[in-house]
This record gives sequence, structure tokens and C-alpha cells, in this order.
Amino acid sequence: MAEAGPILSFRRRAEVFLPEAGLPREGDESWRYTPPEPFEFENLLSGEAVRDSAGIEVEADGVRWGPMEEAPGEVLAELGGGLGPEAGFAAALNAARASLSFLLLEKGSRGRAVLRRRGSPRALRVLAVTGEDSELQLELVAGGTGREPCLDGLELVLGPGSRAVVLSRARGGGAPRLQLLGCKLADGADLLHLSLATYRGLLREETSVRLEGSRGRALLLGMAHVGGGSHHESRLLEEHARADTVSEVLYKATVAPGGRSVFHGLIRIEPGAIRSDAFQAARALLLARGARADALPELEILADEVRCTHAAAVGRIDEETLFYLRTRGVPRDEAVALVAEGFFREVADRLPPSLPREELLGQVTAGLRGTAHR
Amino acid sequence: MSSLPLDLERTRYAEKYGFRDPEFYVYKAEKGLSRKVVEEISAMKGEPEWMRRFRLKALEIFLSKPMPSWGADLSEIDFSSITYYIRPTEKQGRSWDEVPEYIKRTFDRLGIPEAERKYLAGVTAQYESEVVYHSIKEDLARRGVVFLDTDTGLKEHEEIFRRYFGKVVPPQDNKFAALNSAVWSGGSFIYVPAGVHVEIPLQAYFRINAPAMGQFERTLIVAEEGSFVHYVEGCTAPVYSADSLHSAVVEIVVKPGARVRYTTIQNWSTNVYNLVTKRAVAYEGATMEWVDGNLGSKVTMKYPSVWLVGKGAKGEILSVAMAGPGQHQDAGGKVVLAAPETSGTIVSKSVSYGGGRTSYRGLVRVDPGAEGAKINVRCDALILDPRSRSDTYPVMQIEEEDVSVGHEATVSKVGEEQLFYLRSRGIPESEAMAMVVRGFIEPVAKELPMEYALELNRLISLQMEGSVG
Repeated sequence: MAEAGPILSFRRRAEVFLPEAGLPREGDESWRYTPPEPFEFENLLSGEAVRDSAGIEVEADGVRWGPMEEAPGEVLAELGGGLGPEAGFAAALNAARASLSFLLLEKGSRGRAVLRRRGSPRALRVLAVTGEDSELQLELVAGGTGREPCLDGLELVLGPGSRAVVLSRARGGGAPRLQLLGCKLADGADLLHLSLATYRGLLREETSVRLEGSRGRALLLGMAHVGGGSHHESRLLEEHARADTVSEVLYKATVAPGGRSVFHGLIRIEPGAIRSDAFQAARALLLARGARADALPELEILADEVRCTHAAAVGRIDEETLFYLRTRGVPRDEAVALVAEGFFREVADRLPPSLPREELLGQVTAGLRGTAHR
Repeated sequence: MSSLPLDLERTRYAEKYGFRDPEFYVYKAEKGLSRKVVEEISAMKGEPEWMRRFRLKALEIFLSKPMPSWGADLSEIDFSSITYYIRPTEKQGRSWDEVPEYIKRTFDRLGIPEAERKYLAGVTAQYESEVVYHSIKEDLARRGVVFLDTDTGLKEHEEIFRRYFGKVVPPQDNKFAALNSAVWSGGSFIYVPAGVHVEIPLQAYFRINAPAMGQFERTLIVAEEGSFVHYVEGCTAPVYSADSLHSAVVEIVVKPGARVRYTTIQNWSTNVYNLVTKRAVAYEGATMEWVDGNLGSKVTMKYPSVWLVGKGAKGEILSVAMAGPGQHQDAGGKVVLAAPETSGTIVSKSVSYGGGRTSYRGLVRVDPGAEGAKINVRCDALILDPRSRSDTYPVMQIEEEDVSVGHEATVSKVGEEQLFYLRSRGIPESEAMAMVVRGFIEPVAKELPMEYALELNRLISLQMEGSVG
């Protein structure tokens, strides 16, 4: 079936922007910390759009779900609204080539969905739209992907007064992964997103939240363990387009020797978005020599009546704490894992009861147990 | 604080800083940049062959490097319309009497002789591209302290230049460092022998006084083991219509146990592009302090840097920036911690008003092996009205696990309650605003020499007038 209507014009929008954005090259400002080559963008660029919606396994309860061709008009109208093809090269490439599917939560309803990514397709995009005053819980699980790099996108369009709790899990390991998350929040919408990454390999996450309605709130949480030989880059954008909006970022990572963690955050307050509150905190714990962490917490403030703060810190595990634990017979690895658990707990404490807090903590600290760090 | 009505004070300010003298020059290089111009500059100064080659190589580097694509908008700079060298008088003035009358007049208005008479040790007053007046108190000379303009420094202390010149900031560093390396002229050279403490701040005044004229000072400071020196650089410039480019390079070598403080108050007229490379290398147990105030200019891009290469070295950067209508202050600081137990602090305070834009841009890098390194960065920004903008672009690259690295930033507007409180006590709004701003930058202002702090406070009052409401 050939694509038509809004889908076709969406693809065209992306095609038009692609040459303008240009293939990322090493040394480009936004690719300074993660080399673009391993993502093999040119292969995806030269190929056809992926038409394999079987790439996602869905467990849904109370939500409508299907390939984009079957989406109702209200959903199609939002295509590209949360994650526009013009956001950057990766967003454009995903828009042009990804297999497209949708998820809809009707006005006033409650729903749950778990999306599991399968190995094969190179690029997927899911557009999730929530109706007014609805409540969505969404979990995305990307396990070990195939041999080919992949480029996935999730677009979230939250209707007025709706609430969403979204969990993105990148576990396992394998080929380079790039995951995009673009969210648009209407009046009074509320988003909580947790990125939980223990992926072994190259992982780049680009997350953006645009607060388009007043009284919108977004909380973006991150917990990551970057193992030896792994490289994670998290790029976050908090964009305040309207007055009286709140956003907060809290990202924490532990980094093992040979691992590298990169945090890039940007708070952007647009003109007129007065009484915006924006916070950003990033912390990295380097577990031993040979671990590396870079942090770039940026602010661009174009309105005057705002409160914006950011803080970034990089440090090590306190030797005294480890010593204390070891004198009580706790083996070193276990002691490190305990300290890390305490470190992550600040993030876990922010999670709603509907998420399995201890299990999530377990995933992020699992990599610390059973490996020697010194 | 002054009790003059603000508009009267403003008139005085215009008298003081906004005047211009008719152009009167002995030599003025042709406009534009070429091999020929660079060779002429070198020949005119009678420089050694190695410096001529250094300049020519730097010119090649300048031409080969692209304009920086990040940071401020530099698209309006036209390198071909700039005069790269002007020499106001044939000889350097030895005493005040020998200084030409029209230049004296300028300095009178700037208050230099007064400051000097009071308590300043030496003044290198740079008028146009060359130092015209220079004096050092005899006791400093007796203790072996050298304080010269850079051209004379090269003539009299070539061996020191061969060793340090272009080593801290090589021409390859960036396009504007290369430009300066090719056409540099004037600036200060300071050499402090081991163990000597220079108690009084050494000062230099700079001025631009010709349309489309560039100033390319080159400053080199070498502080030997255990010595101390405080260098103060202040700028005021008359207002002109054509754009001017100011691109200085400052290189500082702080030997083991020595301490150098470098204070700048930059107040170029708002048509000046101020693109400066400042870097210091601090060895074991040494301390480097940059106190940097950026008030004027159209665009400033300036990130004083400290490379902490010896165990226990310390670096401190205090920066204050104010951007008003049409101004972009892209300032910050860089600290590279490359040795164990090194530590650093960056404190940045910026204020934007009347549609101005301030950006903090900074780098913190901890190299492998810098065990026990500690660094803290704090940047605070104040935005006074809805048309103004503030950005923060810090970079932290950490490759050593035994570290403590922190960065904090806040952006806010002046609290309504603060203003209300002050106004309820009969203080007019603009003065209340100025008081809040002064309080905000106080942590940096208190590190300035007294007369600079006073002038800074006065400037804030002037600038707040008209920015309120």
C-alpha cells in the first residue's frame, strides 16, 4: 500500500529538510562527543522507508494501537508535532525512513502499553497522542538489537490536562542505538519520563520537551550505568514556550573504567515564557581511573521573569564509605554497588508508585556487581 | 555614591569618555592585511629575524583558519577595512614633558596622571598602537622588575621573548590569536625576578582613537619562582561610528610558588569587537587569578584561561559582564587541571538589560592523573527586562576519577520585593535597580582596586538610568 495524505506530506517534509541538515560529520558541534560514523546514517539514507510494523511487540490495555495508515485523523494531524523532522538530521532521517505506528488514548480514559522493540528494523517511530484529562503509562523496552545500528523515535503529544508516565529502557547490548524522544505538552499536561540505560555499546539519546501550554510540567529523570567500552550520550532540551511552565531534569550515571558518559542539557526559555521554572541537575560517579564523564549544561534565557538553575557534578565514590562497608565484611564490588544504589535512590524516589522502583534500581546497579573495578 | 542627578552625571561621563581628538599620526599602515603589511610592521619596529618569521607564519595560519562558527556574530568584521598599524610619535616619551600635548589632554580626561601621582607605580599608557608614555618607580627597577611596552621589551630582553613569547598562546590556537601574532604592536611586558613581591598594582591604559583602527596588543608576563605581581588593565574608548576590532593576546607564565593577578576593566565603545585570547600557565604551587570585567564593546569574546600544570597549582577566575542595547558579552573562563592536587574556581556574574545579551562560555577539563583535583564553577545571571537574554554554555571534560567537579548556575530577574522595599524607602526605581545590580556583582567588585570599583559602581548607575520602566 502506497503512503498517502498526511503521511506522505510528513515524509516529504523530512526529505526536504534532510539535505539542509546534512549528514553529521565528526567535529560537528552536536556530534563532538559521539562519533556519527558508527550509526551508518548513509545506509539508512540511501535505502527505502522501513515498512515493518512487526518490529514492535505491543501489550496494550485501554489504548488504540496500529500502523500509521490506520490512524484516525486526530492522530495524523499531530504527526511531526512532538518530534518535528526539522529538529535535526537524526529526527529528519527517522521521519523519512522509519516504520510508523501510532498509539491513542481517548479523552478522559486511562491506559497502559508496553512496546518491545525487536531486533530487525533499522528505524521505528511511534506517535502517541493522549486526549484531554487522560492518563497514560507507557514503557518502551529496547533490548539487545541486531547487528545493524538503529534509529528510533517516540513522539508524545499530550493533550490538555493529561498525564503521562513514560519509561524508556535500553538494556542488553549490541549495535549503536540512537533514540529520539520528542514531547509536546498542552495546557496543564504533566509528563514524567525516566530513561534507564545499561546498554552495552554506543547509545545516544536525544530528548526534547516543549511546553506549549501554560501550567505544563515535565520531569525528566535518568539513571545510567556506562560499562567498560560503552559510550552513552544523553542530550536533553527543555523548551519553555509559554508562561507558568515547569521543567526539571535529574540525570545520574555511574561510569566504569573504559566507559564514557556525556551529558548535554539545554534549557531554553522563549520570549514571553515568564514565570518559567526550569531545573537541571546532572551527576556522574566515576568508579575508577579510566572512566570519563563530560557535562555540558547550557541555558538560553530570552525572558526576564524566570527561575532557572542548573548544576552538574562529577566525582568519585568516597573511599571512606567504601572502607567502612568493607570493615563490616562487605566485598568491594558489593560495597560499590551499595554506594551506587544510594546515589541513584535520589532519582528512584521521584518515581510514581506505579513503576517498579526496586526492580529499576536493580537493573542500573546490576552491572556493578560481579565486575572488578580496580 | 554620587549625589548628582543622573542626567548630569551622564553628561559628565560623555565629556569624560565620549570625546575624540582629530587624527594626527606619524605613520599609518595601509588598510587591509597582507604579507607586505606584516613585513612593514616588523621592519618599522626593527625586529629580529625570528620575530619577522613568526609574524609571517602566523599570518598564514590566520588566513587558513575559518571564522569561528560558535559564539557571537562576527559576520560584520571586514578584515580588509582595518588599519593594522599606527604609530603616533616617532620616539617613546621618556618623561611626562616629552609626551605630545594632545595625548596628554586625552589622559588628563581619563585621569591617568592623577592616578599615577597618587600611588601607582608604573603606567604604560597605550595611545593608538604604541606605548607613548612609560614610567617605572625606581625602587621596582632596582629590584630587577622589568615593566616595559612589549616592543621595547623585545629589544631589551630578547632572550626572555625567545623562551616564552608565543608559547602559552601559540598562533595556531585560534584565528584571532593568529591575527594578533601577525600584527601585534604594543602591550605590556613584565618580568618579576624570583622572590620579588610587587606591592603596588602595575597599570596600563588603552585607547582606540581612530575609525576602523585595530589594536593588537601583546602582553607577556613572566613571574619567577615565589614572586608576586598584580597587573591592572583598564580601557575606555571614545565613541565612533565605524566598527573597530580589538584583538589582544595575553600570555602569563607563573613559576613555582609565584602568584599573578591580572585585572581588566574593559569599557570599549559599543562599536568595538573585542576578541581576546588570555592564558596563563601555573606551575607547582603557583596561583593565577583573573579578574575580568566586561562592560563596553559591541561584541566581546573573551575566556581567560589557566592551565594548572604543576602539583598544587591554583587558578581563580572572577568575571563580571554587563550587556546593554546592541551588546553581546560572550565571556567566561577556562581551567585545565593537568596535575595532582590542583584546584580552581570560576565565578561569573552577568547582567543583561535593554535588549543586551550575555553568554557565559566556559571549559573545565581534568586530565588523567590530576588526582585530588577540585574545581567549582558558579555563574549567576540577572536579566533586567523581557527583551534581554542570558545564556550559559559550560563544558566539563573529566578524565580522572579522583576529582570533585561542580558547576552551578542560576538565572533570575531582580526581585520585585527588593525593588519595592527600596522604593518604599524613597529611593527612585533606577537607583534601586542600580543598588540591586551592585549587590549582585559585589563578590567580583570587591576584588577590584578601589578606583576601579568606584568607577564600576558609577557606570552601573549610569546604565540603569533609562533601562528601567
